Amino acid sequence: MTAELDVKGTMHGFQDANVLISYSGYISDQTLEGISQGIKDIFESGPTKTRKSRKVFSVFVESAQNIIFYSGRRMAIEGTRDGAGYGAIFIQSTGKDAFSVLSSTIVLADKKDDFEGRLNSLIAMSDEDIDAAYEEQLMNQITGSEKGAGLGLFEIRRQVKTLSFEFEPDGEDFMLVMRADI
Amino acid sequence: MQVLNEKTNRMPGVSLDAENHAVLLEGEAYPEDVAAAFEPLMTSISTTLAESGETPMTVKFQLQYFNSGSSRKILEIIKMIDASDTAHNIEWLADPEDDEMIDHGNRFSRAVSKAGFTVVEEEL
Repeated sequence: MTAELDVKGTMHGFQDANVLISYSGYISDQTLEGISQGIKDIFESGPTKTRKSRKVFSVFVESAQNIIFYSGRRMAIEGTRDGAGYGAIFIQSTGKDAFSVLSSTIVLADKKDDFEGRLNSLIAMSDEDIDAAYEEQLMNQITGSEKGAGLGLFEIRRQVKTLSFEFEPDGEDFMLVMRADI
Repeated sequence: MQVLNEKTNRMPGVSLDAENHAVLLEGEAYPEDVAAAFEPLMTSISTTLAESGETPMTVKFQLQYFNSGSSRKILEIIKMIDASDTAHNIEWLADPEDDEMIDHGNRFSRAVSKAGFTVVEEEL
């Protein structure tokens, strides 16, 4: 049975949490392209203009591609390589020139430990360590996926002040919620 | 300037300035399929360098943003230039206020052994 969606409550929740951009559902590459242009408009002009626009943009792109490429719940779309992945992504204003990019996606049970280990290892690194490790990954093509697997998480970690995450059981799999504070 | 590859919202364009022996790669890079998107650019640059013979070319990178997947391909292009028989020059153009892009340039400079590599800070 489909649950009733509380649109008003959700909208009020977003407003109260100073959410500037939100998207949830199946995210495709076309979705990413559209929202990317919107983000530039919002963060490079008007009252929300910020010198951190590049960081926000970068974390958004890597988080969205993480959902598109690796979400455990997927939809094939004709004419696209990767189709769409199920997830959600929010950009929140958290203070004066402070932002959070929150993203959520489904991680299959057999991938959870690997993902969790990589995130914990990135969070444990200092800024100097992360720069050195990023360079090593890049130069040696250590995580050798054409889609940039692994390097994308490094990129997110490099851009943020703090990165945190939690896994919640979702049927047999897990829902990953990641918070990147910029 | 002769356009070799048209710029799009998500891929840089490549232009040839034959008079000054220069190639300019300019724009943003965050395509869906990195390998397919970069292939024509790599072909253009590779062909241009081959046709230049023993004349050193200057390949200018003026990138405003690129994602993690694209960084691998940019490194591939830089290594391809470095592997040419002729010692070419690479200029990495970055706005003085863009610390991130300056850092990227310094990082990529450590990947070359033969080509010249200069990080050029100028207001873009």
